[in-house]
Amino acid sequence: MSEEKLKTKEEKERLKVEFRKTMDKLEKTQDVERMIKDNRIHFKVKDVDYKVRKPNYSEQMEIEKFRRKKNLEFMADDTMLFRKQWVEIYKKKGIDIDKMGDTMRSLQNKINSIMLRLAKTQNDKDVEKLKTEIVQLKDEQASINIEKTDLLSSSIEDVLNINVTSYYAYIVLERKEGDNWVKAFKDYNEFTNSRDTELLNKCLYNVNYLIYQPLF
Amino acid sequence: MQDVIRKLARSNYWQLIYARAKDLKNICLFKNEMDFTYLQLNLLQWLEIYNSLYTDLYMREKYISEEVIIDDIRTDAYLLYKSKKKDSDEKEDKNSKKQIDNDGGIPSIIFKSKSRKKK
Repeated sequence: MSEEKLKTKEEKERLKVEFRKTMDKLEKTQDVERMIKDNRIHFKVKDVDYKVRKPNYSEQMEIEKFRRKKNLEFMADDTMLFRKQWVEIYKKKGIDIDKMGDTMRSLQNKINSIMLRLAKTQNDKDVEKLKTEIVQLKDEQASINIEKTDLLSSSIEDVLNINVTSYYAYIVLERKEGDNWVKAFKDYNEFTNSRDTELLNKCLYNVNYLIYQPLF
Repeated sequence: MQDVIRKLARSNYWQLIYARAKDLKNICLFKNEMDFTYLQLNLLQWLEIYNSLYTDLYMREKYISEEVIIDDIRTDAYLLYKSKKKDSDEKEDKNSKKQIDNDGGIPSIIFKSKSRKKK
């Protein structure tokens, strides 16, 4: 095969990849736009229509009751510990979680000082250089954060959060039957024991975009 | 997800809807009028931020350009610069106001009103 033909083939392949990337981005944008239009999110699993919505007042009370009950249950369990207690235990084992927090804060200070330089920079080359430095520091910060989150994932706070989100998902998940929307699972037990991982994953993914979390 | 929300928030379509919805009550951003989701609140926050950035661009503020607005990292950098500048300007204003209030170190005078008339 001649070099020119090879180049054209490579170019075609590159364009294909670019095209696929652009389409993915467009699809993602359209997906988000669809999710934003309403406070209920619709999705399909194996050709069945599902939706998650914001809970009404009595459902919110039910979720809060579930949180209280779980909290008491976890506190009565000797194997369950709060974040602070885990931090102390890790410290004794030579893992300093507080220090991880300090490192993350110091990285943030570095990021901020580069950002202030970037804000005043017009030169394209310098802009790219500063942006790369910021991305590297942010990556470093993110990997420490992942490690910290992973270490504390068994804490009462984190486990409680996962449990409450899961209960929330069970409460607000509905399936379309004819013209009506019905509860997808008859009780929480059925929801947690379901083997339909695709449905559970999609449901939890969408529920996370319903629940308000402080942004800044 | 954040990158998509920001892309939507700075788009002409959403900026136009956002600006008009502020003036005209019959234009709604979402199907629901209350009980907003996390995504909707997130979009509202970014719509407000990008709206102020486009205003800065229109007012020919220093260090803002179209290139900055379409680049998330550069936008964050500009927002940080702007908030630091605002803080230092406010501090300066406070200091200069203090100086004007007590220029020359003369104590302030309280004028008593003569509301009671002699009979």
